[in-house]
Amino acid sequence: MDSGTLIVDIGSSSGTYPVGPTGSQHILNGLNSYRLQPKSLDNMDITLLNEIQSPHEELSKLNEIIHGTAIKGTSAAEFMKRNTRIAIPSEDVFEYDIAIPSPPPNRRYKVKLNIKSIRKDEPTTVEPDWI
Amino acid sequence: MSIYQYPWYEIVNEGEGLEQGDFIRSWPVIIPEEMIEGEGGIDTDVLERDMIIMSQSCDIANNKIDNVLVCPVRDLESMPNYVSRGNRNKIRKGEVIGYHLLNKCALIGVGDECGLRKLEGTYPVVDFRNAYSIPLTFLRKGIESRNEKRLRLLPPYKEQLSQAFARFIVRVGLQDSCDIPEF
Repeated sequence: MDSGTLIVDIGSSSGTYPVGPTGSQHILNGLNSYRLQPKSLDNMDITLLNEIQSPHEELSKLNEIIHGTAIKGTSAAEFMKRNTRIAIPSEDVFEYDIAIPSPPPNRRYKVKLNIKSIRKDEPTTVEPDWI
Repeated sequence: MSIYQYPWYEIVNEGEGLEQGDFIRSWPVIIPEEMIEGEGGIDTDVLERDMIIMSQSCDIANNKIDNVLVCPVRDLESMPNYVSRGNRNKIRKGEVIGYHLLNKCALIGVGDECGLRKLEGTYPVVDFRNAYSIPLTFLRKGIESRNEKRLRLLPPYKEQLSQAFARFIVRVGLQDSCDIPEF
């Protein structure tokens, strides 16, 4: 393991961090990605290559922790031990389908509707042979 | 021809019939602020959003529906949770169930002629969660009175959009208290 990209799977909710020398950057339950590039695995001088914003407060805290921590160690084991202290987003933070508020409308204004009449209505009936 | 060589969009002239996949710029959505109890005036909020028609073209052309289903369209840049390459690729691959990504729209005239300035040169995202329905006659009259060109999503991408919406609407979500106990 003297070269390559170190992949830290911080999406694991079990508290373990699979570390491997190959592969692409991995996901934090689909919400966040960190790719760590070791300059030397012996010395574990890790450079945070990229960081992606997350909407969740918990993940924001995680960002702060990672940003605020000089990720240096003497061994992969120490590195992993150090990083297991990082808050792990619980599973209920995970949202596969991230719904976000609608953007501001193109225009917004108020009008007064004048209700002329109210009647019971039925939808138009379609012929039975219409597919 | 590879399927990926099909053009995504065209701009159709004023007077063209409405179809599935047509973009409707800044359509007013009325949000009543109070219950309509009877005749008289009520205060309403009006929001204008860019929309895309989801109803089938044949239903519209043959007047088989009273209301046209539309979904709001926004640009990918306005979605702060989807700035990462990973999350954007999730949308691109159709893995985010509530949103459907369309290809970047670089046609000349999208802003000036179709009035879709927010979508010009961006990746439009269709928001399935906030669908609206517009009375067909009202929509037709509005489009006629505007007398503008429209942006249209083309096959096979409009069918793909329709299928993605079907996937969204057909899903069954269970509450936490589902029958299978937590492992």
